[in-house]
Amino acid sequence: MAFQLKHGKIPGHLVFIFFLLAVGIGIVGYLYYEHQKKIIAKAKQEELSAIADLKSQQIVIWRKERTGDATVIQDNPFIAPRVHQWLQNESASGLKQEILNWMASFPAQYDYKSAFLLDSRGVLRLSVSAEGESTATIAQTLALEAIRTKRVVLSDIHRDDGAQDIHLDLLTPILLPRGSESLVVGVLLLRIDPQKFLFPLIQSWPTSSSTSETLLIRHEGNDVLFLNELRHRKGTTLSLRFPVSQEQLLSALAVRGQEGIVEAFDYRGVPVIAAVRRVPDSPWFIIAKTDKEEMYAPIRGHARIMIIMVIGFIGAAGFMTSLIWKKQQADFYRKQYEAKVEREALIQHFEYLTKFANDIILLVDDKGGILETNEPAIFSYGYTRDEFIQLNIRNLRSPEERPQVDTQMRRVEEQNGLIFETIHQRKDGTTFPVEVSSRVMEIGGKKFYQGIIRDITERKRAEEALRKSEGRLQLQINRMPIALILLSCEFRVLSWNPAAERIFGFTQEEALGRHPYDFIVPKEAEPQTDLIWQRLLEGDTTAHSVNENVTKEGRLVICEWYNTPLKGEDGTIGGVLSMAQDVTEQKQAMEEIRKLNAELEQRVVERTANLEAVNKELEAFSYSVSHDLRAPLRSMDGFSQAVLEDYGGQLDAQGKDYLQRVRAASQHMAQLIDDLLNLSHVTSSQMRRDEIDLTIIAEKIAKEFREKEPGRRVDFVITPGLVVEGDARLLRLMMENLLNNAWKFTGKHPRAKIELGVIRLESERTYFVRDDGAGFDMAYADRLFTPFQRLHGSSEFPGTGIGLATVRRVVHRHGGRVWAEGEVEKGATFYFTLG
Amino acid sequence: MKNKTKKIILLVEDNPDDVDLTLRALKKNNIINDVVVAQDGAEALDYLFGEGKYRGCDLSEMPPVILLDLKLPKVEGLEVLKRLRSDERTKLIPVVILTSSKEEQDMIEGYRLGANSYIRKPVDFEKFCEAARQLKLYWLVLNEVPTSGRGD
Repeated sequence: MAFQLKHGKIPGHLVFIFFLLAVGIGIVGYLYYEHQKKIIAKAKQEELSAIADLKSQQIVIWRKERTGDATVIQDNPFIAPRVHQWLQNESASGLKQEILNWMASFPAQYDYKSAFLLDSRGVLRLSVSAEGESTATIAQTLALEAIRTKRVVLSDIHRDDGAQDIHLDLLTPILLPRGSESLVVGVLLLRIDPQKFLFPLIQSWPTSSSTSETLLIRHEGNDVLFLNELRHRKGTTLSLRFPVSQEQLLSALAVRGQEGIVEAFDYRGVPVIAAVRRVPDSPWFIIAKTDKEEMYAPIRGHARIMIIMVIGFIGAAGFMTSLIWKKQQADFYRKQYEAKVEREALIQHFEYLTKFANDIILLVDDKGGILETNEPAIFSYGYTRDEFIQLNIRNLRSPEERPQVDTQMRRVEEQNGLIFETIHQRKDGTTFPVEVSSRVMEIGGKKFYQGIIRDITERKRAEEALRKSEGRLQLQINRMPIALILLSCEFRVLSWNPAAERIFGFTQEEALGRHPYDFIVPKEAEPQTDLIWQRLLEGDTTAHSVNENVTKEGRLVICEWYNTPLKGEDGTIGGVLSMAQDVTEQKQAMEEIRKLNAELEQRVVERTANLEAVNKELEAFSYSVSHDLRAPLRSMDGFSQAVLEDYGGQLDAQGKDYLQRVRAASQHMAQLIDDLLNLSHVTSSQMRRDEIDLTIIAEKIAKEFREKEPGRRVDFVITPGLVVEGDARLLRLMMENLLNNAWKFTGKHPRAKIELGVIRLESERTYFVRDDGAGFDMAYADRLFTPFQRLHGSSEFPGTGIGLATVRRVVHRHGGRVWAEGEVEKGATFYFTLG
Repeated sequence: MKNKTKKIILLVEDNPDDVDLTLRALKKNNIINDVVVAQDGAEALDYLFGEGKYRGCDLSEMPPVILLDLKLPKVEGLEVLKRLRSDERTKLIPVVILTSSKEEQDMIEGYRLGANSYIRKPVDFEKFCEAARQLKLYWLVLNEVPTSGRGD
């Protein structure tokens, strides 16, 4: 709250606000009242003006009617001669009566009071009157004026001398034409009673009003004369008069020429408002007036309501103001209470703080004398509180540090507080490092020093440990084989370890503060480095690159860089740590390997192409062999047979035998060719891999053998379900050769057994074909699978020496191994695996 | 059947030894049909379509069977077979391939082009005779050939 409140007294600003409100409400009320008043006054004034205008016009019309009556008389051509005649000669009989009749018609028909006939000298000659009244000198004077001017004269309201009644006279000169001139022969005087029509006309008021009235006045000498009968005073007609010079008198103001709306006092001395008009063509003024009191009566009603409302509003404003005041007071007391509680809490808090704080707190005077201390001090130094009070801070210092005290106290004062480290001494003489935070307080013009003292033994120890650890780290950095370079955000070298010196040749002194572009980054590597630097400054921690750098000797080295932006606690990047490794040799070795690989690949491609060409040739060769080599053999065999058949009689036994040998040799060679072709097929043909049932193949072959040589007694023991994966044609060829072998080498035995089975050797499925035939000497086992190698003579067992070579090729093509075990006359076993 | 045995067999073979041996083998099996020998593929086609030196010959009689070697001068045996099978007049004539080769590719191609049989000439003449016997039995005795489509 911006205002300070005092108990029990309404603050000035609230009073002021209330006063402003009250005045404002009063002014608004008053203005509203004035406005209403103006509206009502204006309406009333307009009403008065309208009435005044109306009356004025009515009077004018009335006067014109009178003049009109006179004109009618003048315009009657029969009247003048008769009147003239009668006035010349009164004795003229009948005329008098005729004229009297004519005159009588005016009071009767036109509402005149009476009618008189005067002769051309103004002398009364005839009268038609109810009470036998006569014309006075006023009438004579007016008649003479009418005669002289030959014009109609309407008199003012007047009272004849000595007479009581008031009237107006209308004098009409009766004209007799004489050539171009006209002769006044007499005057007709018609007398008008204003009480009859004129005054009621004036006095009538069109609206209901208790004070309003209309006055008719005229200026007479130095007076203003009231012509009509008044509402508020009787007997005033032609008798009430006031001096024209009278100030503030309405009627006087009117005759002085003031027209329109006039505020003044009327004949009673009552304030009125009036509309004043001069009646045209007459000496009269008409005044329509109302008492102010009556006029403003409705305004007074308004005023009452306004006053009540203003008082009400002011009361409400006062109430509101008092409410605000009450609330402010309540706030003020609450705040005061809260502040008090807070202060007490603070005091208590402070007491606890000093008592139980970890830090030692001392209050010292300007000489260094200890005034007050806390629990930790007693605990730390070993002095009692009473002993402390006797001590000076110098007693707490170790002897070496004691001389510093004066300087430090001065600096505390100069710098308005100081934090420094020093060494303190306990009561028992031992010392410990402390951090002192000291300030000066001035209380009542006296200086005190407050010291907060912290035992920093632990901190010192930790700092020492950190320093050692940093030393070790520095040692590692110095010894590490990787260049460690710290860069500032401006890309300047901040640190440069020995490995960096080794790799780049620049010493630390040469490198520090330099921009890498100036010494180790070659021109070509700058764009790439720019990109990486940009990423690093954006906080990218994965900026890794391999690029060429240049050493002090100008040698290009290939370096692998790992960079990390170093972020401060607030996340801003303070620098970059770059690690570099010289990988020139690695890169060169890798390049070497890559080249060798490429060469090797090229060689493989070439070899493969060569091999393919050789293979093609071989195929063409074997095709040709199968066709062309057999044809001569057929001829040899065929024609030998032909000779034997056709010329057998001419040959002796030896000749026939020779031919048989030719045939045998031809057939052997044909077999040899077939076997060789098979062997070459095994090598060159395309491999397919299907699921092949060796059992079925073996059983088929066995059946063929039995059909071919039904006389032999051979038991085939074939393990069922030997399903393998491989090429159908090749595996069939292999089985044919193996079984054929077994069949052939058991041929000399009366009974034989041939087995096909599978065993597991070193977890590998190993198939075998076993017979109990001639067997072989294991000494030659390695020659079994070489082409054209035979362990038995062809006379003993016929054969080409290619069968087992074919078997070995088939097995090899399937990625397997084949070997044999045997013993002479004990049979042989051929083992094979299929990869 | 009587007619058939009289019809002329076409032997397409360039090796004179093989011609003699084949004829001998056929004769030994009492195959009494006349045998016409064409020494290359081109001659075989001329004979069958009445062109070249066979122009104007009567084509109404077509061989009951053609014995066709594969390795031939001028026009290859397989090419001859292809031409026979693409011509209305000859596409139904039984063709027996009689060759030294037992190359799988030859066999597959031969059958694919519409050969009726594939016989490898054995070196052993006795086996050759046996083959000829079976050939005669099957193609000249047992086999029925549609009578229409020959143009006669």
